[in-house]
Amino acid sequence: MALAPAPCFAADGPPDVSGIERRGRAAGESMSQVAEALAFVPRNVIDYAFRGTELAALLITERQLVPRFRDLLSQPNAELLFFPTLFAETGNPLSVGARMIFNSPHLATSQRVGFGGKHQVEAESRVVVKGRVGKLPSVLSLELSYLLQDNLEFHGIGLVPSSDSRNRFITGTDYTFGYYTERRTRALASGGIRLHDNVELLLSSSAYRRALSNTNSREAESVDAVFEHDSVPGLAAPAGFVAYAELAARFDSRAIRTRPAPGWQLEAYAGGARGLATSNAAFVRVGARASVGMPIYRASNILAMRLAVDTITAAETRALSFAELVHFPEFRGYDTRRDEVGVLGSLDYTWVLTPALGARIFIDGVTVAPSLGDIGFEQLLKMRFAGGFGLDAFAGSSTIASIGMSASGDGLRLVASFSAPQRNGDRQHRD
Amino acid sequence: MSLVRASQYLRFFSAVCAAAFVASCGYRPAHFAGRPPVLSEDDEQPIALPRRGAFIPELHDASVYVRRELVNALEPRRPGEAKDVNALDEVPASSWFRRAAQVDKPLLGYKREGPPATPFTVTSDAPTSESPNARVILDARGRSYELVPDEPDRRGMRSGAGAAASRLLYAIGYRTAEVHVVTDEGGARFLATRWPPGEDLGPTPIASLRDDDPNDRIEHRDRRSLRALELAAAWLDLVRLPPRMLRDVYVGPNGEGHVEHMLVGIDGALGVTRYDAALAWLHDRDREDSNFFARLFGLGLSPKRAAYPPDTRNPSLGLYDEFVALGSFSVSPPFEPADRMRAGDAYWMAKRIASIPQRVLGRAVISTRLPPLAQHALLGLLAARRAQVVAWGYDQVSPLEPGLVSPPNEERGYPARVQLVDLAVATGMASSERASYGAKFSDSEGRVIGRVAGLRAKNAVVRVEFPEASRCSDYLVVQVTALRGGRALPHPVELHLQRRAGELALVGVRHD
Repeated sequence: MALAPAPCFAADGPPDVSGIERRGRAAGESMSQVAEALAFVPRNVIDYAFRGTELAALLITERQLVPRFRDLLSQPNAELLFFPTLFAETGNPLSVGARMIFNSPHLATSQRVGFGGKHQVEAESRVVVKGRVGKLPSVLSLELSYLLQDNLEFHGIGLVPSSDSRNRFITGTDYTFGYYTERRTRALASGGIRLHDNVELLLSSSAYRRALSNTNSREAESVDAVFEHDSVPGLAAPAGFVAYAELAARFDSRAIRTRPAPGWQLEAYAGGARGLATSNAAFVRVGARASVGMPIYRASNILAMRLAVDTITAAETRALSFAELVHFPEFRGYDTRRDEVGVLGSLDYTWVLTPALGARIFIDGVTVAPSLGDIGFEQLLKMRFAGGFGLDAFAGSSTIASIGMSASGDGLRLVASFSAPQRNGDRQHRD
Repeated sequence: MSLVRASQYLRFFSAVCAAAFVASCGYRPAHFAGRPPVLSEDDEQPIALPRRGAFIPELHDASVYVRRELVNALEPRRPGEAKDVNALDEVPASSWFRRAAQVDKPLLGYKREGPPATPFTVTSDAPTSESPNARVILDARGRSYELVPDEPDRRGMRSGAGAAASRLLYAIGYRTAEVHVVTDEGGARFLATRWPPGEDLGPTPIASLRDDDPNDRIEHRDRRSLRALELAAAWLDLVRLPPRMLRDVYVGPNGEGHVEHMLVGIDGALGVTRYDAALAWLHDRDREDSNFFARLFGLGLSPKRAAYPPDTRNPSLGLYDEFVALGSFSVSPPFEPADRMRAGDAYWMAKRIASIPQRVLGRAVISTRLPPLAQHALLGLLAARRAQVVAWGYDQVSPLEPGLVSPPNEERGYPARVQLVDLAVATGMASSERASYGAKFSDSEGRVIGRVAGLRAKNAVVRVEFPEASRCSDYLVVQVTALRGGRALPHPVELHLQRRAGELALVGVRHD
């Protein structure tokens, strides 16, 4: 047979190198074809989702969009980052959004939007100016935010609402909680100064408005359908603006602050609020947090213990809106209890699976009470616990995604989130 | 849609599935067109200078550790044939893979510019090597080189490994950067890599084609030269194959050049990366378990494994063992084309590695400029590992190469036949006494027209005579299976013969 080369260059499509004009078929191939057909859609959805993301990221990078925008802002040493965000939790609609961060040596801005349906909207815009006071690093931050959340649960006040006389359930109701809607608008200014490598002092002041109403989408299960009318303080009341100022001090000896690391964290804060115009709110918040992380056997295995105490005290005899009462969003079970004092204790053990993936097991215990004096042995016996397991994905030293499952007396809770790390210095962001 | 219509659709769909099932149950061979085999992909047509590709490590990691794993798990069929394979089951010359101008001189053309000429000027360019001490220099001629020094207490280890591995991969057929061992006035040794030989376009995209290169038309993961690269890596113990090592280079003046796909920064071969890893392990106080699930379920508390100072008999060599664990060898990070390596691809690579003459191994070893004892040791290790890799590759298929197809000879009384050489027997890797062969003959539609068993090789040559019924066939498929001690090897070699001017001529070969 002559071995003269055959032409293979075709104008379109891959070149015909094989010399095969009709593909063969192996015996029994039909079964694998059926399996192939079944797996075709999920396989290609995954494949093209990844490829599409990769292509988009490469296009943004290769087309020099970031440097062009940077040039536009005349900040040659700046970085512009764009992150998709995702938050999913048992019982709540999936929330998707985006976060854009512009960071330069002296100025940073952040815009964030999240959308989980018509009644689940979040938007936030921040400007951070970085500088020095004398020789001490400092930041000044201004923020505007809007949050609309529907189908929030109000279970009543106290650790055991059904037996707490402050709650007036409608006689004969089948429900133990009611749904409400919160619409919050906030302007927040904060300043921070680093007195020492590990010590920060933060002063923040905000003006916010919280409008609470019965949920529209589940009228039969709204707060008013479960609790006696006008018995829930703050619900359906005319919402006025509240001014709140707070001073916080923090000590943090961890070498890495955005993922589990050995070291101490201590924080204490105190703040006061007063209603503006139509609001007659007046209260004081005081609280403290302490945590310690220590390596176990390996430097990357961290056992962390944390204790948090939050209090709120109304001035004079004014009623506190239930939305202002102490509760713990950090509690990894269902955060359904609120009162004037709350204590949260947690134990986390984290270990490394790969450089970009870590695992954690945890247990949280939380209790609330009308006052610190009420938190005695009996109260502690009634603490609510949640324990679970989670996986965290890291990019460099920051956590960018996590997925977790917890079990508590209220049932299983699954949480998944993907977002850019937030480094809010002031404590008010946890509210 | 009403329930009645839904059930009608369901029945129709079931009928279509059943028809497809019945229609696709039996074996039907491929059909070769009978054209001469393609010897060149002709993918070096002049193109405009492509842009330098961005490389985002996080995206790459997500792709190989997440997308690749999920997609592979949802792939129930074995990968399709490699798409850069010609009718004779060979890889034509291309911008990815070169074919030696002279078969017995596979290193011809390796030396293009030679070592760097002094004096050097150190530049601030980033090197492609992972070595922290690598530097980019311009030599007296203005050529750019990367200099990688040896570790102080392991003189010759890294530079020698880079020089030998680069030449051996070139001898297989890969396009590698030219490297030389050089010494400075103080006698310190460096590995000097001529890089880039053109415009460096960045890491070769593995999961996609270059959209700015009209010559790039075959999916990279379906290139045999990439699918089988892991076997060459096993021979040379190239355990790290990060994206920076496969790079695209635009060669030639702008508008007249083309893209070549090169291997560069191979100084971790021949056990150097293993030595580095052993040293890092020794100094790692945590010594995490390498098994992901042991880490997960052990809560990070699994016992720390013992660590000993890495050592070899010769400090000029890395941890290059004479035994290759081919079943468990894999490169890191995962290399997607390697997941798609078929038996035929492995066999092809084994043939390529086996075809390198012993004196070429010697030349590659001499290029290391190591002391004679180290050179002897390295040559022995290369030969020992090569034998294992080749034997493993030959065991994946029936390692038979077709030779002469003879018409029937009435005078001598034998029918038309084909001769095949059993490469394993020919190279002494299998015993001719234990080797036997069986053949199955079928027509173009897969209808069996004859079988023969118990054939024996004489001087590693097997003669397979065609059955009388083949006289009526214009297209004959002959599947020859090699047996060792009565046990059939996994895949028969499939020969496709087409009748031309009354005689059968070989038009296609496949090994799996």
